[in-house]
Amino acid sequence: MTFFQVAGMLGRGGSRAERARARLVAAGAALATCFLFGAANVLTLNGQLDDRLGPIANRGTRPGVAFAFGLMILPVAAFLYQTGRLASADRERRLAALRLAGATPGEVRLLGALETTRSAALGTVCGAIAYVLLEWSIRGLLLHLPTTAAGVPPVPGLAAMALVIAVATVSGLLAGRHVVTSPLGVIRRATRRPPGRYVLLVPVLGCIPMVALVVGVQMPYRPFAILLGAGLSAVGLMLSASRLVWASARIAGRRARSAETLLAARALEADTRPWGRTMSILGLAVAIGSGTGWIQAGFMDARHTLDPFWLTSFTLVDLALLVGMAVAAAALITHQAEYLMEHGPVLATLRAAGVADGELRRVLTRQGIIAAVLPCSVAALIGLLPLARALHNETWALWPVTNAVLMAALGVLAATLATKASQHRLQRAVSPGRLRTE
Amino acid sequence: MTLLEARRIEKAFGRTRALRGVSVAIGSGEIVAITGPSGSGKSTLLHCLSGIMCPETGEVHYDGRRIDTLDEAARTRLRREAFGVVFQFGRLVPELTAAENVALPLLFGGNGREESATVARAWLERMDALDVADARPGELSGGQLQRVAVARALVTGPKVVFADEPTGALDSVAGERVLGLLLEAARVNGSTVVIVTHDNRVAAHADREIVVRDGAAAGVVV
Amino acid sequence: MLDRLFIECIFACMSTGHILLGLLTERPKHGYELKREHDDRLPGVKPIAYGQVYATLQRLERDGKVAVSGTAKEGGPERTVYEITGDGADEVHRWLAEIEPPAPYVSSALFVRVVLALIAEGTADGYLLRQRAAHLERMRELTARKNTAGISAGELLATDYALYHLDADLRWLETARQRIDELTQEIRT
Ligand SMILES: Nc1ncnc2c1ncn2[C@@H]1O[C@H](COP(=O)(O)OP(=O)(O)OP(=O)(O)O)[C@@H](O)[C@H]1O
Ligand SMILES: [Mg+2]
Repeated sequence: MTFFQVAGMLGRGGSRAERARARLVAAGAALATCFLFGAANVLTLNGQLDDRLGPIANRGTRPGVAFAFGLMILPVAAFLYQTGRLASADRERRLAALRLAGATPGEVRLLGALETTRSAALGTVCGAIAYVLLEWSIRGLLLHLPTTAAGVPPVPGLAAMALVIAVATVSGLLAGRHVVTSPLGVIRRATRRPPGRYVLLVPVLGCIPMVALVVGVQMPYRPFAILLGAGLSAVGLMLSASRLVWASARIAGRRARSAETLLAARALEADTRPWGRTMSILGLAVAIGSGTGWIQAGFMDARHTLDPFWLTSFTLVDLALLVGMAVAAAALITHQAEYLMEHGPVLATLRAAGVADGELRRVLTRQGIIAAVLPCSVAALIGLLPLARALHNETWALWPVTNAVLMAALGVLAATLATKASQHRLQRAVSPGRLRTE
Repeated sequence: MTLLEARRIEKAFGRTRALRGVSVAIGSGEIVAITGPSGSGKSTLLHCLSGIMCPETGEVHYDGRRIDTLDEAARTRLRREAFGVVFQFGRLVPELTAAENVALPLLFGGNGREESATVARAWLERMDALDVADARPGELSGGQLQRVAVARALVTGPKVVFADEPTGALDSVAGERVLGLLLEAARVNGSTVVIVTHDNRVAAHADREIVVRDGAAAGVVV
Repeated sequence: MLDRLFIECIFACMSTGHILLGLLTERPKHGYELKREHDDRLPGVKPIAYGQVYATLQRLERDGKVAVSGTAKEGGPERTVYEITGDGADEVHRWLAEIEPPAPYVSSALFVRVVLALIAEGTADGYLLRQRAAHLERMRELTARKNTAGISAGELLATDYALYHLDADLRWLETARQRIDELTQEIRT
């Protein structure tokens, strides 16, 4: 039997949960394809278009829009990675028999990647079709533009599809890394060190030029320094998200007065990275969202009105941030599912000892809150920095601050909602049947 | 005086009839072993007696109250207040230290962190496991795990302790030690103990044996 | 009371001569001391008669395994003290190097009863349950004895020994029940 035959055979097997996960991978791939198509589409537009299209209408802002579309890949990639991990854990359980029969972990991982690739390919095609239909209908029906104006150019479009599939395959291969499987199907995460503390220096470094600006220090190459500072802060924020999550988990664990907080904090501390990944994306969205507050305030300060162009621009940015946050937070749902699967027998035992379902649900929610509060607050602060002091009328400064608080709250809310969304699994995870299994 | 009683209870999982009309009565302060071959329904009986599950027919009474008709919340409260449980593999929360695991039921009961920690340590000392108080479950041996699990089950001073194969994963000397500490502490507490086991030497620690065969109590050996 | 059946089994497997020689390896002792130590340190083993100690010592002396090393007088009558000779020590160590032959034959009364119950009554279920109850009751007594304070190491070991053998019987009884069940099922279908 060839390798591919085996892959095909195994592709047909699998539980309901695994098929659900395959659909999640496909959905992620479809979303990624749509974003890339959007970027390609915007870049091929030419000439000035209707102002209501906002930044898309203007030739000068189109590359920015394309870049934003590109950025939207980040949460999708994080989502795909997390889903891939969960799927691989499940699959390895199923393929444990194959391991017993002598397959190497590498082969099992390759089989996993192939399954991911298949789902991703399916999702990509669906995404492409959906995008083309959507774009065509918007263009033709809503905007009454000539249908010949532009579309997704075929070559970049195909390239984008290939890219999505390749990324999914690679993330499928990487996803199996931290899962240790024995032929007997026992899965546990390899013990790992806490995330390093020195990454915290990167955002601090990035903040220096911005703080200097706020304080009013004269700088050589000012725009360049600020751009560098903003870039460093953003990248640094993403890099240090894991450490921030870990730190707040540790503090919460020490200070916890209730059992729920203690359990939540310790679970977070033991397995920070999936949260860190999500929080890096959520944090970036919060930082950007908090930064836009200054632009909006500056704008109102200067002109006191919003024309359709800017209104659309701001709305689009907020929409993009919301979508990004939602997708990033959705990755948490799959992570919580993994937590519940792993801790099922332990939680079932606590339940047998008289811990109420509501208390166990609170453990899940508090994980979200503990993980999100610190990174989101830091992100909102960082987002507030770069454009400070650009206003004439100080009262307008109220908006960016309010906006930053709102954005941080939104980030925490997204994480908490994600944990709430996985609570329906709790019932099954802690059923008395789980007391019987090792 | 009868503390815990099952009357002709039946429980099925799909087409498997795990319990087919079991009646047992357990007195206050008694130490009872439930024995029987694999798959005979011992664990299911324990789960029904302890209010973790409800039988489909029949009645379960605890302390003069019928508990199988209580809703989930009421049974949860009962388990928390009156029962303690120990299972085969310890089942401690892997991210917490041994002492924190023992303190957990107290914390859930609304006690303060320091106060719970002190009581937990005292129980670990009674269970001869104070030396591993700050270790995580992953670092403990099977015997140590079970002693910590016993401490966790007893820390709230339960009226009844339910143990399902508490020594099943241990060798006989370690098992005897765990069992000895469990029964000693239960005697001091005045707790009733229900042990599910298929080890006759464990059953010999009990005052009485209930033999379950094919989902029915075959012989209640007094 | 400890279970005579098993103790007699232990006893049959070794000779009094070897036991006395073993006790003498510590230091020279007189006959009465040997009897007392025999009974204390091998609890559950049938107490030895003083006459038998005396006779055995004389046999060992004749064979050159022990020698008279003097007399002792502590309050009571004067007693002959024996010490072990080089030959005797060799004999003990040679004996300890041997093993007991594992008994491959079934000699248990339980077995006979189960088979006869099947023949005469068509079922052994009732007997098996009653026997189980009796065995477990005895195991309970032994377990209780193990848990009494100040139990000696020898007594502990002897109790464990008895417990394990009763446990083996019980497990055999349970297996017998399952086997008989299976066989009856087979015959019916
Ligand atoms: N949650 C469940 N789902 C399906 N079947 C179950 C479930 N729980 C128990 N059973 C079945 O009910 C019967 C009795 O199970 P139970 O676990 O009570 O036996 P047991 O006596 O504890 O066995 P063991 O000594 O192996 O632990 C078995 O046939 C088992 O397969
Ligand atoms: Mg069981």
